Amino acid sequence: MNAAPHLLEVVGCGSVSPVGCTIDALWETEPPHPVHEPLLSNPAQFVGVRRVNLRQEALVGWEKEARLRRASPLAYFMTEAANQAMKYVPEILPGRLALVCALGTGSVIYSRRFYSDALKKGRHFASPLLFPETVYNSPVSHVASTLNISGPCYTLMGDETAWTDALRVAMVWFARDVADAVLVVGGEELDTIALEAYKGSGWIRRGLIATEGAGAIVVRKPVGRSPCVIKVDAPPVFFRSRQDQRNAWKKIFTKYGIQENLLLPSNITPPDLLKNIPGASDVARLKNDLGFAFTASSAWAFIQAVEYRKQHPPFNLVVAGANTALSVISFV
Amino acid sequence: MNKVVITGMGMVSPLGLDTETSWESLKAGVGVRQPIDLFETEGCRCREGAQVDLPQADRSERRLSRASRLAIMAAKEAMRQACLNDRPFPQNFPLCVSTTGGAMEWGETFLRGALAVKPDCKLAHVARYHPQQQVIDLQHALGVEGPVTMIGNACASGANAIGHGFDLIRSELADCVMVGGYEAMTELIFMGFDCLQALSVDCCRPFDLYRNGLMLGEGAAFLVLESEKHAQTRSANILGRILGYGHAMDLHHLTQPSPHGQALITAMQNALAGAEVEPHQITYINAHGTGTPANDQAEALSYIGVFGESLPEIAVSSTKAAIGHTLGAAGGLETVFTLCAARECMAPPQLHNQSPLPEVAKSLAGINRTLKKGQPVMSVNLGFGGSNAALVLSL
Repeated sequence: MNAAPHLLEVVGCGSVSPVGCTIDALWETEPPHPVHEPLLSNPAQFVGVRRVNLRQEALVGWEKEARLRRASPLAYFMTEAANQAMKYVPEILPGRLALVCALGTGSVIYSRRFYSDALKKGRHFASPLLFPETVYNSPVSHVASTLNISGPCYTLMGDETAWTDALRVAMVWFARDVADAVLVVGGEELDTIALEAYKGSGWIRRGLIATEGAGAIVVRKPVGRSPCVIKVDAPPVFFRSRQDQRNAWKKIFTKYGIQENLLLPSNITPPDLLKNIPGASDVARLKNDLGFAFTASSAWAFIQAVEYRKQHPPFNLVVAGANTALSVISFV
Repeated sequence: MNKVVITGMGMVSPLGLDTETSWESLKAGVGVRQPIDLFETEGCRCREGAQVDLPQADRSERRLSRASRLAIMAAKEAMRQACLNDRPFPQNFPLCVSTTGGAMEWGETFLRGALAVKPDCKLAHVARYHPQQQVIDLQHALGVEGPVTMIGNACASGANAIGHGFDLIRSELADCVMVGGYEAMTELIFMGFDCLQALSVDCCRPFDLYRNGLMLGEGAAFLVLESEKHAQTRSANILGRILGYGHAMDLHHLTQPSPHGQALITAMQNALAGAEVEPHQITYINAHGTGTPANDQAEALSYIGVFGESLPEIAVSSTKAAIGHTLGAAGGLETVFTLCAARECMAPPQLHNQSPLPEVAKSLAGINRTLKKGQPVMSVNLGFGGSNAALVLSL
């Protein structure tokens, strides 16, 4: 196996979150107080969530795009974040800009609506307009079409660590010389069925606040002295049970050391997970906990880490998956 | 750059629970279409498809989703064939996996429970409905760990997963990779294709003038890819090679390919260029051929665009007429069939085609259509959202 590091340079970032549609808001704006929404199974019971304001100008502006007319909020979040990140990209030949998106629950709003409508009204009333929008890569297809990205395009699935997988895909594409720049996007939309699952998992009881949005970056092969360079060559640490998850964290702390060169995201699922792990409270953590949104959370943490790197020596950012793995991104 | 070889293949299909059983039935022209009994279909236009006849789950499998069971069976066959199942594994064994639905049936159960105001009873199910959970099931069953790439590029996902494994080895980022995909038939997806009127109510007829839709199927297929050097070092039996991989994005429409198949042309041309193979050297194409009006016409035109006058010399068939469209598993299953065809110099016949599209009329494979020995073969896939992928393979 080739041990040579395959480095990536971060050249652009974009974000859509409950604190607004700019990357600066990620560290400048305090997260809003959660709003309370009813559960699907028990409308008398409410849980706190942070929503993206869908009526803000940056998102409403995309409504005129034909491909987005019927799209779910996820496609809007991802398109806006991607568009912000692309503003930093130098001119690229058609077909040489690639797109890789990492999703957790995908178009869960339309999936829930499609299936529950069919259950309530009967299968012969299933909606042919909704079904195509339920497919995992539909929002990704909308991003590519709206922003005219005709290079390689993958949709990846997973928990927060799918973000790291997406960076690894970018690394492979550069090694194969199929792209000059890669747009990496993570996104999540919030639906009542997801809230139901988080509640059932005990995560809400343990302090989780669900949220939504998207984050995007553009990476390329480093050119000259680059201000922000990363590598993603460390294999992830997998877990299945809660005990495995705690052991995975202990492995990470042992491998990377708990001081100086390790950085944790602001939110970890479940929020009280690290409470009794020795040394965990000594590790540096990013600020501004917006809540839980699978790969969108990873993207926001990554973008905050890009800013953090401007004032700090090299470090390793832990990407904390909620239900499969922990992975590490090295900011070199 | 590393050369990429295939040392193990495994599949579970509606035609059989392993590669050889499935291949023998396919060659013989057996088709599988039956009433769906995995879930209720009352109210749907179409009520038939191609299901896998899975044996009763044993004790160790009872907690697994149908999707996991399909994936594990196919992957274990690939590992056995690669003689990797009785060796100590490298700690870093990458998996590139595709699906479109994951364990959707458990998500459906959870939603039904939530609507009926009793969600907690199926919590264990929803926790393991996400696609990444089937991959963890797979890793546990195989006893491996390493980076995972879960690709959800709709119906092209399988070819993308194989292509990504190829890219990993080719660029010397891995020596040995498991690639493939799985798909279990579920109510939501079946209803979805049915409401789009994309399912044929009588028969799936790829590349036929009177084609009227696809047949939904399910299954799984996995391959072990290695660098040639890695395979030679451990004296592994080389079953075939991947020579090239191309993929391209079609921005035309969410659910329909551009009428002339330009993105598929690009994908095929890139795969051929990477393989350093001229179009006329290809002896067989396992076509995507869903049997829907828009797909097959665009695909046929793209073959003319790439292969031109040599197209009549190339055998073409879509195996979806026999096993159905297996979505995230399609790329894996069809790649394995393509390699079997190259091995036996025999194209799987194009079933259910009485009135072929003129563009591919001379290419469509009949029973016992022989292939040129030692010549490269190709497998192509298209998907919702504009994903297009092509693989060039040889023995």
